[in-house]
Amino acid sequence: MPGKRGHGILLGIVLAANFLGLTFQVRSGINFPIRDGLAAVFGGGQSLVAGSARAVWSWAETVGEAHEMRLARDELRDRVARLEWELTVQRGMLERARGFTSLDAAAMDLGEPVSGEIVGVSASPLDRTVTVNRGARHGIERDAPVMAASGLLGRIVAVGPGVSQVELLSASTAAVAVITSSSRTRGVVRAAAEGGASGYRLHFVPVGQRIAIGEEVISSGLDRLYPKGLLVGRVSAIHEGAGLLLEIAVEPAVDFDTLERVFVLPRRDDFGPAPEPDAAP
Amino acid sequence: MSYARAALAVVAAFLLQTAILPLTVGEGVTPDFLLATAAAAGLLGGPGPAIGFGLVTGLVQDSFSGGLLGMNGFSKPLVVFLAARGRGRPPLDTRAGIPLLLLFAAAADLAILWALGEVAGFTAIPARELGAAAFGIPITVIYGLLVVRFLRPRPGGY
Repeated sequence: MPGKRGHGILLGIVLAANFLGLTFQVRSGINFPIRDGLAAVFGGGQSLVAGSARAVWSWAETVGEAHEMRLARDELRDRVARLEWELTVQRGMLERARGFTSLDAAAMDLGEPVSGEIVGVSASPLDRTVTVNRGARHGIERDAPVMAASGLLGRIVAVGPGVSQVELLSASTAAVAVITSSSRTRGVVRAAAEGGASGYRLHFVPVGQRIAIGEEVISSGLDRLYPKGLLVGRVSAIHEGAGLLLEIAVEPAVDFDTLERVFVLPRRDDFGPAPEPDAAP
Repeated sequence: MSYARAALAVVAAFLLQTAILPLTVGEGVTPDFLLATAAAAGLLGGPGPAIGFGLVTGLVQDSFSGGLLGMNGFSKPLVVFLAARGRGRPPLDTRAGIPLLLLFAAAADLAILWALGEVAGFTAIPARELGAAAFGIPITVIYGLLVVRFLRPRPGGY
């Protein structure tokens, strides 16, 4: 084993060799061929590790980007739902103002809705209910109207601390008093009974009413359950039945199969049409 | 110290430095894993191995850096040798001396490379790269401590 002196000499040789090598390269402009040899020795492993690391890194980045895109998508979906909701509210206010008096427009506020997500559906095909992840803790009350962004959905029929159950308008037990947007024809919308269809039927409309295909059907508020002006659906077919009433099919405004987010309105006892202007005391 | 483990550590440091570092550490921070490995080997193995590991890692760095062959080949053996010599002197012979000597090696290496470029007139190192290397010193020291832990002889078993 070399001593301290030996180490010093060894170091001196190494340093001198490197210094001379540097000087030679700078003066002559020639690179030593050792560079090529080392590159050949280490290059394979280097490219293998770099390739593997890049593949792993790229995969991790892809996963991260996918997560960010999912978050952005959810945010955009929420924003669209909120905008659709605001549109629906505006439409309801317009409808109320059109039907009664614009002086009551200020009183037409539906209140701040509680936004929730559907976390479950009924197990039975006969039981048209969904479960929402909002309950009494969030201020939900029984019989509170529930909306999807695109229209009226149903009402709360059971309330738990953190979840509540919504009876959909497509349930055979559900009904809503409505009025058509143009012809101002009143009636009651219920689920179509035949064949398990998901559509509605507009009942109690006498023959002779001028209702057009595509006309909007909105809640009238006369049932004192749902506020006036919420979109229920659109007239899709009209038939003259054997009796004195028309058979009117209504296409639901809500696609029940793709529901994700709902808005639960505060239950109010003053839902319904505003008083007529001439009905003042 | 096992030389086989030390050689393995050099290869790992090389691959980490050349293949993985560009993907992981942000721009403007460049630790020197090869120096950390050579210094760790030198601290545990003494001045002789320090010169050898310093020379090998320095030449490998020069070969893969595109600069002049011998810049790191000059600086690395010197700083690693000095760190290894310092390891035998109190108070640096204590446990706390290792991070200090690693810090010294990293800083001195930069200083020597700068001097070779600016004072001796060889390839000048851009200030940006010098700054990145300086910011990388803490990582270099931490990595060096990990390598010391890896290379330190284990107590004998039953």
